[in-house]
Amino acid sequence: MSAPPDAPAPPRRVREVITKSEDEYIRGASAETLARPAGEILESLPWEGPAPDADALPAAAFLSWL
Amino acid sequence: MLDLARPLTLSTFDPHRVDDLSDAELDALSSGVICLDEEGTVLRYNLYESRLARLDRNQVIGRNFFTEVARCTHTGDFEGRIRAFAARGDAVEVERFDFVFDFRFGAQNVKVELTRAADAPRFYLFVNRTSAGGPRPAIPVAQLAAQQRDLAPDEARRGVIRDELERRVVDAPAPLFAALRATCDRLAPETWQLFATEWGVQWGRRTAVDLEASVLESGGRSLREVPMSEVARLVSSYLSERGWGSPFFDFAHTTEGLLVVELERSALAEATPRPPRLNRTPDDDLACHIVAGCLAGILSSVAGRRLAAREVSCVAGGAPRCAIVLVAHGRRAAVDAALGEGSRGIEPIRAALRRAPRAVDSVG
Repeated sequence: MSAPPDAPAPPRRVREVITKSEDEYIRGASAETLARPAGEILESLPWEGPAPDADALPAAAFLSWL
Repeated sequence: MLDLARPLTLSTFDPHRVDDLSDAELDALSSGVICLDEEGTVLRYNLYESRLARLDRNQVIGRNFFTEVARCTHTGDFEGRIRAFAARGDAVEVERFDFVFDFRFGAQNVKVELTRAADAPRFYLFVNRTSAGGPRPAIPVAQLAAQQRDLAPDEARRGVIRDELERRVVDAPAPLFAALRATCDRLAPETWQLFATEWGVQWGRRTAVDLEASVLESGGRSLREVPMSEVARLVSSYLSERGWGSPFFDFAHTTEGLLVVELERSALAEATPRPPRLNRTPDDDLACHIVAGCLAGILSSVAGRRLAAREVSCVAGGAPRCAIVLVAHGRRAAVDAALGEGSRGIEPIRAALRRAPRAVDSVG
């Protein structure tokens, strides 16, 4: 069943490896932030949105945040 | 509920429920899972195991694990332990041991957890890799795990293409996706956004498993532990190398709970006829739902929480660039409402999110 160890391997689809510089794939955060573990960064983002601004939100919307 | 962001261990997961996990659930894990019968025949083999062993499970399932698939385990330290565990009946629920898997392409140090199905003669191996390195020089070839070409030597002549990691691939031209959308437009046009996004999410979960394996092989531990910039680079390169375009992560609005990903030269946008067609659906001008879903799947895995992604502007609709926003899953309704009203671009979506009341299901 096994192929001989020195048998030529069938052709493989080898992708071109793309080496991107940082300014080609990310912006908007400090180097210190981007150096922190990804799980820690993404867990700490305020995904629910910022704290509501009582002066800017309609009263009903503001109350729904409380 | 399974925590897909962390390796599964029987210390935190009820061994009796193992057999209840669906194949899709097993494939979303960043742990190898192998199910054997009493003879050692492989019954189930998940995506992570397939990726790290570089074996196609279609050729693995049905073979003897110890003698045909992973010959390095045909030893007392591995096969012997499993046979002894099986012989002990129900006396022991979980057994743990360390082992080294020897492949031609390298050795992997693993921690194995062994348990049995609750009501059937099936055994589950949970395999958590702790490190991966080059081949160990002293291991005879006959004791190395099989390679894909051992299991299916002539498959190239039968129309099978594989990539450098032995994953089966299909050379799919971009018009295939235009044809898929055209089919959906014809049969069920209102479902396209939902269908394409969910397809992308499922793809993204599997991509996260793939990226986890890549990180492990390059010396890291997990996606969550590598720097944020490295995750952005990995995801951007992964999609670019596969021809989907070039994703660009913009953290400028993250203080508002909004992560933006711009997508240059999107294959999906460029495969969509321009100008937009008849606007038969509210999102007729948005084409990149599959990539948006993929990003949601990957980043949800890293964030350890459910995120939603929506394309908010698209080259297919005449915008200068494609832009995707990621928000908490519970805030997606506000984005959808704004998109449904015709809002396009980052700023209108930011404004809509600022006006939106807090979603009741926003956590998780």
